Formats: sequence, C-alpha cells, structure tokens
Amino acid sequence: MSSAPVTSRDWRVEVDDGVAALSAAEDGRVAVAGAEGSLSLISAGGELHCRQVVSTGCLAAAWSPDGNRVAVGTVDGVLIVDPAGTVIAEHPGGWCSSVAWSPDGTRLAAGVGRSVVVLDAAGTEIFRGGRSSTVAAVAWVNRRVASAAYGGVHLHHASNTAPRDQMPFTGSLLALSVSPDRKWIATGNQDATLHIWRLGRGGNELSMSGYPRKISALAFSPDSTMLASGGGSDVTVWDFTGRGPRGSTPRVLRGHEEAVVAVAWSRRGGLLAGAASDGSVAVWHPARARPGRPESAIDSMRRDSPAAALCWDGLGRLLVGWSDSTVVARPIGGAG
Amino acid sequence: MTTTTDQRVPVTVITGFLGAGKTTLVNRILREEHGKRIAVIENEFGEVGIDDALVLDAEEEIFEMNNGCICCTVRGDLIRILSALMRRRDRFDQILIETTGLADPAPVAQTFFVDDEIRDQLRLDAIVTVIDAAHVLDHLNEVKPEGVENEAVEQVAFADRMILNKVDLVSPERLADVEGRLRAINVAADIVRTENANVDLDRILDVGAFDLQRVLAEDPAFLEQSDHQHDQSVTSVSIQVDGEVVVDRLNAWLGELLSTKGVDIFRSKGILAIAGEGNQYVFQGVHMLFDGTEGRPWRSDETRTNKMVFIGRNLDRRELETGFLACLEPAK
Repeated sequence: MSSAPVTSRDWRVEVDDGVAALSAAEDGRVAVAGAEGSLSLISAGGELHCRQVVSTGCLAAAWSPDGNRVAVGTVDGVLIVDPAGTVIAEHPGGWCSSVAWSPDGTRLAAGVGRSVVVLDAAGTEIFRGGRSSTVAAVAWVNRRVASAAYGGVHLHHASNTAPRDQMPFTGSLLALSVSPDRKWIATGNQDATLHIWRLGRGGNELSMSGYPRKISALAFSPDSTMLASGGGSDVTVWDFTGRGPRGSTPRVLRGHEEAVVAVAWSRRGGLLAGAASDGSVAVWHPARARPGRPESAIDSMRRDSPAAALCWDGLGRLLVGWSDSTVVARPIGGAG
Repeated sequence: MTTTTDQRVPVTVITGFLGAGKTTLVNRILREEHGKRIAVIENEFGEVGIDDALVLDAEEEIFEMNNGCICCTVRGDLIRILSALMRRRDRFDQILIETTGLADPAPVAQTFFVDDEIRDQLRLDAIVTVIDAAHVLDHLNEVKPEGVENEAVEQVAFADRMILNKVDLVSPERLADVEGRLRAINVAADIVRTENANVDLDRILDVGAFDLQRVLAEDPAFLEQSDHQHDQSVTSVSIQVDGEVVVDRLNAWLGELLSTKGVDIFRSKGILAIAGEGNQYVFQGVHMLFDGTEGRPWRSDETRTNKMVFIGRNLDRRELETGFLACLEPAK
C-alpha cells in the first residue's frame, strides 16, 4: 500500500484491490469496495486509514447521508460499518450488488439474493420482500423501495401488509434510476434497451432502443431534467423537461472508446462524469450539448486499466477507481 | 477478422448426469500440478477447496432474452458472476463451470454469444460432458412426456468432448454399444474413455474445441454417418465437400436455416474455404446464434475441403446437403 498525496484536495491512493465500487461522504471521506473483498476507508485529505477484508468479493458501497455509516454489498450479503471501519451489522444471504440509504438516512435498502431487504439505522431487518430472481438494483421512491430484477421493477411499501406495485418487463434489468422528483423510473437492460415508466400513471411507459451494448450505467440529474445512460462508448442523455423524452433526439457525450461502466452527476448537477472499460474518465457540461451533435469532454483522465467506479463528493471533487487498485480524487472546476 | 492470438480466458463447461463423475473430474483438475490459476463456478455443492483456486457457488437462473428478432435463453447467474470475476486483478488462466446434472447446456453456451462483456473477455473453450458408461443408455432411452427434453440426450448433443467414465464397470460389448449410441447422437465430439474420471487434462482444457481444427480435421469418425435419413431422435449430419464457398450465399443460407430450424439444431460447426480467402473460415453455432472467425491459413499442399456438422432433432440430410452445395462456386 502506498499513497501519494499531492495536495490534500488532489490525491491518488492505492487500495491493493481492484476497485468495484466507490462512495464519497459529503465532507470528502471515501469508501472503496474491492473486487477481491477489501473495504478501504480514505480521509478527505487522501490518507488510507483503514483497510480490511470483509468478503471474498465486494460489489457496492454507500455512505449514509449523515456520514456516520457505510453500507457494503458483497457476493454474500450486506454489511454496515462505522466511520472507523468497525462492523455494526451483517446480513449474509446472497448476492448484493446494490445498497441505497433512504434520503433521511434512517433506512437502508439492499438487494440480497432474491430478496429486497430493508434495515434500520442499527442494522436490524425491518422488511423483506421476495423476487423470483436475483435483485440487480434498488432505489428509494419516497418511503417505498423500487427493485429491479429479471421480469421488471417492483415497488415495495417496506411493510409486510401492503401490496407491492409491479411494473413488468420481459428481460433482464441491470441498472435502475429514479428521478429525484419521483416522476420517472428508468432501467438499463441486458437487451441493450432503456425502459422508462411514468410513476403514478398506469400504462405510461416507453422504451429506447438502438444502443450498441447492454446498459449498466444510468443516472438522473439532481434536477430531474436529464437522464444519462451508458450502453456503448458514448454517454446518451435524454431530456425530461416537459412531457418527457418520447420522440426526442438525445444529447450524445463523447470521450470514451470502449463500454461506459459508470456515470455520475456532480452534486449540483452541472457536470456529468463517465468512466469506461478502456480506462478513460471524462467530464462534460451536458446542458451545453446540442441534441444530435456529439459533445466533447471539458476534462478527462486515463489509466491503462479499466475504470470501474466514480462518484462526486460535496467539495466539488470527482473520485474515480480503476481495476488496477488506483483511486484518484480530483477537483473539477465548475462542480460543487 | 483477426489473426492475432486470442487473449481471452478459456472457459470449460462441465456437464453430465448426477453420479457420472463431474465433481471427481473438477477435483482432479484442481489437484493436478498444472500451475494454472483456476476459478470454478459450481451450480451444486461439491467438495472442493484448493489453494490457488477460487470456488464460487451459483444458483441457476434462466433468463429469456428478446435478442432482436429471435428469442433465446441465457444464464443470468453466470453473467453476474463472470462479470464480477473479470473485475478482479488476479487473472485466471482457466474458468470451469460445473452445471447441475439436470442442466440444459443451451442457455450456458448462449450466454457466451449474447453478453457483450463476456464475449469481449472470455472464450467458451469446450463443453465437456461426463458420461456414466454403466447407466447412460438408461438415461438416453428414458421416454419423457411430450414437450419435455431428455437432459441426457441434450448433454450428449451439446458436447465438444465426451468423458466416457466408469468404463471398468461395463463389458467391452456394452461399451461398444454405448459408444455407438453416443456417436449416433453426436459425431463431432471426441470420446475419451476413463476410469474414475482420470483424464489427461490436455485433452479437455484449453483445447479450442470451438475452433474445431482437430476434431473436424483429423477425426475419421466424422465421416461416419448414421443410417437415418430423417429422424425424430437427435442425430448428427456431417457434410464434407471440396470447393469454394460464396460468402453471401453462405450467410443467406445459414441465416435462413438457423432462424427457421434453429430450435431443432442444437449445435452447428464448420471449417470452410471461402472463395478468395487464404485462411480457413471457422464457424460454430448454438441453436439460432452463430459466430464465425478466421482460422489458420490453408496450406499450399492441402485440398480446400469444407467440413460441417449439424447436431439436432429432425435433421434432413438431403436438404442440408443441397442447401450447402448451392453455396459453392460452380466447379471450373
């Protein structure tokens, strides 16, 4: 392990594991989940202060909104640690590639095997809903939990008595994003389509096809006006102002040569970052892009290893993790 | 098309009925001193746990995919686990997938055609079917209700290599019957006789069975034909003919054939001489999906002979032959 901080805002750390997932707290602390099962906690200034092996493979990580907990999804369940790395709760039981804290930070939703599990802040299980196949992604919609799996999206009320809403889809769902205004649910699919449901309007849904590859990266902008999607070497951004993207021409953001693996909006939403399997990372100003005309990146990074994860912190920095175990924090002008 | 060496990690799929010796074979592969770093994905509990090997459990999840104009099934559990495996820094030299005794091999094989991430980084090297010489005929002859597949027949039909295990438990006559029956279903796969699944690993690992060079080029059994002209049961039809293939005609014929008969054609393989091309064209298909690549150069002292095999149900030999002959340039 070595770290090479240049300044306290701009640093590079080796975590001795291929990066599988990253999460940054508002204050710039970073949790790194490793493909071989490590969990690394890095201070805002770039000091690796805790590294432990928690599993045979990690898949997901998320800081709680208050910065007091980190949830980690692994090949064998979900666990919660405190900021010092002490394990607070552990729920083994299957593949966990998605964890999501409720906006108020009092609940954690996780897909664990073929179940959607909701834990309270102490890590006690308070809800479990079954799916017929392994849950790929979870997200909160107010007090309900959306889960994406083969066969469609389910909306669970997180109480065992209320019936769930079902949004069926024939095929395998890989990625899930809910617009912050809770009007739309979007999924990225194995069959290289994007599927969108208008919440609360039965039957109102649309499908976007023409992507070259499966779509495993998907994110609504913080103001709910744009949806960024992978599904090839370009990032495609759909416009959700007005009546939605039906029939519209998307913005195309260019900067990668191979498949996009992750996209993330800066906290205020002005910038979008993308990471790709060719090792490239690009940052765009999507609102400046014109539909149908490929837009170039305003900033970029590159390593000779697949980029695996990225996120933004509350200090206007972009955090990126690569498969060669490198994690970089970089301030980006105009973010924040 | 490229002639550079394939850098993708080879994946061996091991199928076979419960009790045939799959787990014995996997343990043997893991314990042997081969210096390879191996990852094993198991669909049923096995007793492995070896240094330098990563063993992952998976529960079979079959996903129906609407893949453009055709429907096919893939294994969602494998897509998920293989994708996670590829994110690790430690590169594996070999990946083994051990299926359950009742698994249908088609979704496993189709996964390697359909998922782009897997296609980019992994190569399906061979489907190895382990067969219990003492009991296989009972399984093959078992009459299933209408519409229910006989898994033993499917596993034999899909094989690139057949490990005929427990040969010490049957008489030579019985063994000959068994081999004849296996050959009638699948003429293209090598049969390796074993006791206690004791097989030379060079015959099953990283063999490039999907490039077919050795099987189709050297195996005299390839030329043997079953007597059936049109058979409800699962058989093989092989075609061998000299000549130059017109690529547009080939694509039109194969595309039409596999889209209309792909449900019944389990496997298709071929090494072809494309008109004007100095390298062999190697193709292989699973049901409706097929994929072709450039093979080795034709040698100057070698006759440009096209070889193809189809394994499936209701195969019409004459129709297949006529169809392929129409793809050839007229003889000069």
